[in-house]
Amino acid sequence: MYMTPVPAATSPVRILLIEDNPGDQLLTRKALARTRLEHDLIVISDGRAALDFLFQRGEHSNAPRPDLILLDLNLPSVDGPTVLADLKHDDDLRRIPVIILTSSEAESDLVGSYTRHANSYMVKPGTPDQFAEAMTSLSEYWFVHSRLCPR
Amino acid sequence: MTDEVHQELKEQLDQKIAELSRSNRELEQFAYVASHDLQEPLRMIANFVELLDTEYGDAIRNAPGDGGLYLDYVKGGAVRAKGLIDALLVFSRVGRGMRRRYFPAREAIDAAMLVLGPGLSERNARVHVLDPLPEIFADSEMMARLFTNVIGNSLKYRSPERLPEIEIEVRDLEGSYMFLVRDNGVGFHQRDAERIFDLFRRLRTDKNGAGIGLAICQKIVLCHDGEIFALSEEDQGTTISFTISKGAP
Repeated sequence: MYMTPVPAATSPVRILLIEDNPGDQLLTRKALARTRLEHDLIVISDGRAALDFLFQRGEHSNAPRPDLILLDLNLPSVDGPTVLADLKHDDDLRRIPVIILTSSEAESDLVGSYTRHANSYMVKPGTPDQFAEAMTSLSEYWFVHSRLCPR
Repeated sequence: MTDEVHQELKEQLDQKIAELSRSNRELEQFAYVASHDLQEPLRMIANFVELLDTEYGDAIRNAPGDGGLYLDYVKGGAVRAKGLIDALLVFSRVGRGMRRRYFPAREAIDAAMLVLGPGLSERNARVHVLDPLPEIFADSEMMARLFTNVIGNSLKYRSPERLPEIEIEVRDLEGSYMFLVRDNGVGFHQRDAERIFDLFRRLRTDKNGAGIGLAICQKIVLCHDGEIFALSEEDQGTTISFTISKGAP
């Protein structure tokens, strides 16, 4: 079976942001807009809804599969670490890179995230410029220099 | 003293020690949680005031009135608050994962000199270490940080009229070693000697800093069952002395 690799520049990449703070949603959206990456950003602000989306359950039965997931740790209903653990337990979904995007610098959160197989851990930057810089290096790393698993 | 009285005193002491260590833990927890939870709303303020300035700054500054000034005050306040919270976080982490072992005190001073080297040579500062230096029972990273902060202060508060000279001496006391770090810097009035170890306390505002360096030093010394003092005379120099307990014999 032929599978289309995620193209680097030809079609938009799909990024799922799981984040409940509207401020951070806006900052991430703005930071991504400043990168040259063509992307569709899907924002979900609740852990349970994010899992339903990814596992295509209920109203999300036709949900598109993201190429990359940005995951906050503090989330309502189901928290970030649980979302991460559930994803990484799934034979299929575990192939999607999950980048933790959090304000926590606590070692327990850092270690806990990698223990649950997070692909990267980023601390939310303190200025919009640094945010844009972080999103630029992130998108260059994952979508230009890296090859992702086919959708 | 009867056995009964002795026993009662011992119980009282144990209780006091338990209370003290609990309140210490609470205090550490407070500083840690406060700085983490404060971080979040502050990050919002800092980010969005920056965006406000980038996207609407021109309009605000060109409009009649003091809008531009308000904007600058918010930005300045956010930067200072961030500095304080970061400092609080650093301060609350001092002593976490502490591990005491025997090692030559010289190593801690050498580590500090390595960090401060460029600054010292740029100011033509001279550091004399009076031999001999003992082996100490301490956390080596914390000791290096202690010397870095103390010697760094000597360099920071050097006199504009003299080349900085710093002398380090050790005295062997009964259950501890006392280190004395003398400089020929600007000094301060002796009445401020205790306040300089307070968190966020700054005697001078003409130098950069969060007012955390000596508070960290005090915490490190306390972690080693020691004490720290300052002796100073304005425009003559300062001596910071601290003790480090020798630990179990």
